[in-house]
Amino acid sequence: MIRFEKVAVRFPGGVTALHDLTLEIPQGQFVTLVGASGSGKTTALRLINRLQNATEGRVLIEGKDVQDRDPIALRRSIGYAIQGVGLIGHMTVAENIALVPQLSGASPEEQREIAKAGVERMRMAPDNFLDRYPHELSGGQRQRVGIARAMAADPDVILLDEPFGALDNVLREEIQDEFKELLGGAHKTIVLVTHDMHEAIYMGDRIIVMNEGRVVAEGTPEDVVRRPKNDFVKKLLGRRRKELQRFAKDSGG
Amino acid sequence: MNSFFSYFTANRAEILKLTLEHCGMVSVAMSLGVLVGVPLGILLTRKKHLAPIILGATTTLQTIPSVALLALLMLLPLIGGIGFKPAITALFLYSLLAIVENTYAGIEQVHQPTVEAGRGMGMTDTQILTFIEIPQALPIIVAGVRISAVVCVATATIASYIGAGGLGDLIFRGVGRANNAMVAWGALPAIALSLMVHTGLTQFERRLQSKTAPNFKRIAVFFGIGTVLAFAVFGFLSPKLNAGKTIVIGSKPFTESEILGEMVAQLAESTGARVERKFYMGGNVCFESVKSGDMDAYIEYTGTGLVAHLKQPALTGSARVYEKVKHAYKERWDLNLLTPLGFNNTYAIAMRSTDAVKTISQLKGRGLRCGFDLEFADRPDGYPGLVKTYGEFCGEVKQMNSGLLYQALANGELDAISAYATDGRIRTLDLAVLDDDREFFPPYDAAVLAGPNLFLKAPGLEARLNALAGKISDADMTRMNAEVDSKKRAPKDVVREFLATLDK
Repeated sequence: MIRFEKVAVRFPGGVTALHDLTLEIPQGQFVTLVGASGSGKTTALRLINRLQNATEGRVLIEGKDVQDRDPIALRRSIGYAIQGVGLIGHMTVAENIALVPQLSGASPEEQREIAKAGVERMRMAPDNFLDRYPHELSGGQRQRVGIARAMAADPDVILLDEPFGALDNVLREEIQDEFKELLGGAHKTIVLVTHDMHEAIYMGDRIIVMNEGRVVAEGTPEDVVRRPKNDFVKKLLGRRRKELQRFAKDSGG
Repeated sequence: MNSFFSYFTANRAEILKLTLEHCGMVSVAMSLGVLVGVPLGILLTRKKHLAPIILGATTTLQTIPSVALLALLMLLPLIGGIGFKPAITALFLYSLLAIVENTYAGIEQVHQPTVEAGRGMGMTDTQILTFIEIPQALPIIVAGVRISAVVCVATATIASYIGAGGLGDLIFRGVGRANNAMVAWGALPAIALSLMVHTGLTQFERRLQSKTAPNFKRIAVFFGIGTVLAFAVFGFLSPKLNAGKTIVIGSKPFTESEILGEMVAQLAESTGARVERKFYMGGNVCFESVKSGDMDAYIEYTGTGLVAHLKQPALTGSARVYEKVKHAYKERWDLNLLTPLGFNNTYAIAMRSTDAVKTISQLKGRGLRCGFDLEFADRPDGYPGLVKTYGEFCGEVKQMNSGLLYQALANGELDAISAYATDGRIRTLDLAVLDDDREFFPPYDAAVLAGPNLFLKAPGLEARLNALAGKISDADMTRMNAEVDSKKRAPKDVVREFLATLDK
């Protein structure tokens, strides 16, 4: 369980990124944070692994304030992937996937095993991929490696910041399908940040809509789309409202 | 072309030794440059407010002319003096700019999302540096090292100026003697070294850019071995400092000074002493080194002592000048100026014989194209004083290395030059020394200037040097100069023959 208690984040320039955020994400839930850029969704995500510190309030994981934990150990216990994936260009797929275990002191054999399991989980053939470099992979393959890396240390919590942002639409839907299946069965707490309502509805068990540092709507995809609580959500759904409603109903069922 | 190859055949061993010295200096300076420059560049990415200050400082260092930097470093304690230490310090300082700048720029341009992902996965700052930033910046860092190293190979030639050896020895000596084969054999290995360094490091950069994993352990091991080797070569070549009784004999950067330095060296060796030759050192370097004790002896001229070291107005009268200078050297710096060798290598004005000018006073108001060596042009006993005595006679004045003046005069590119009265080329190029009819030039009697420890280190040497007093006439000296400058013979052979005639 991840809990935000009255969290505010103000940047040195005087900009307030989050106002008084209170939120609960139960263990095993797949949550999507959706909003336009500047809505505070990424800031909220980064509070969980202390890439961002709260100005006020606190963030708790399993009842423990993240501020009381060593940031390095905390981050290694949480999976993390970002847009463009952030794979390290001079390391092979195997080295990238086993990065966190390596940092934590796993032996070369253990690292190899972890990398192999990671690639297989992503339905890629180890013999073909383990020793390739990121620039030798397609965009979709890189994305899969990025997710495999986030999952390598078998964390209970996985944070994904626009993980599919760099993909074209066709590939994106294909990968979304795949990940929904892969991640959905993993019983992990997953927080995914996206600006794409379609993605948020499709991927999440629960959607949190954010605007200007505040939560403006939350609930199951069907709740949010069927009965938009306010004008902002209506606007966000926009002309595709009908389509999204149908879609939410289908994927929710 | 013939002389080009024969020079190599006759001097293989020396060319090889100087090339090794050159490599030693460059690799030690570059190792230090990398060891200091890369961490400094990294530090700047962490403390950005320091960047303008440090980069400004390294840029400023780069703008100091190399000869000036060497001359300044020479005067500092610890790293000062003559030989490898100040030379390597200067090369090291020059190497910093490109290395620091490229390290800084290389790390700054690392893809930020990759760094962010690394941080989010729980990398410590050190791990981000070693796993992401340095590997990604490495091609750019190596490019900085390459630029520095190529410049360093070229710059190291000026180390000769302060007696650090290297290929600059051949270049400066060759220019001084107008010996083109010698210049070429100094320049060619330097060019070859530059190209090798450039090509090797460019290949290395390419391999790094190909994105396959650079093996850091291997790079570190290679660099480590390289550094150790560099220091080993350096340690092997560099004179054992204060190692017992080695005598350091120097010379100024022209042929006559080298011949006489060689003569003192051979006499010292004949007493069984171990001698280190530091020939062809820059203008005032010999005097400074004898004062500081880095050098034991070189040949000085009484007129130079009077004007340049004692800062007194020029005087005439050989005996008077000698006595005055000798006492002042002893009193002020505890240096011994031995009895002059016999010849007077005064500054003189030379023209072509065919010009049929006899005296300097005939030149007044002629507006000639004059060429002077660098010292003569602004010393009070040089051109400025000459004008006061004889009036203006130059239309234009060109300053250049004294070795080049004679040929330029003979070729008709100049009308009058500053010359040394005993220079061998006056004879071989059919030049004429004008009569100093108003006795302007002070006497330049050559004598050994010895530091306080010379005779302690080589007890038998004092008698032998004193026996040389008055034994070298103007004609002897001119002839020996001509043997080296025109016949391109080695000073050591010319000196050996001369000493043999004295023994008879």
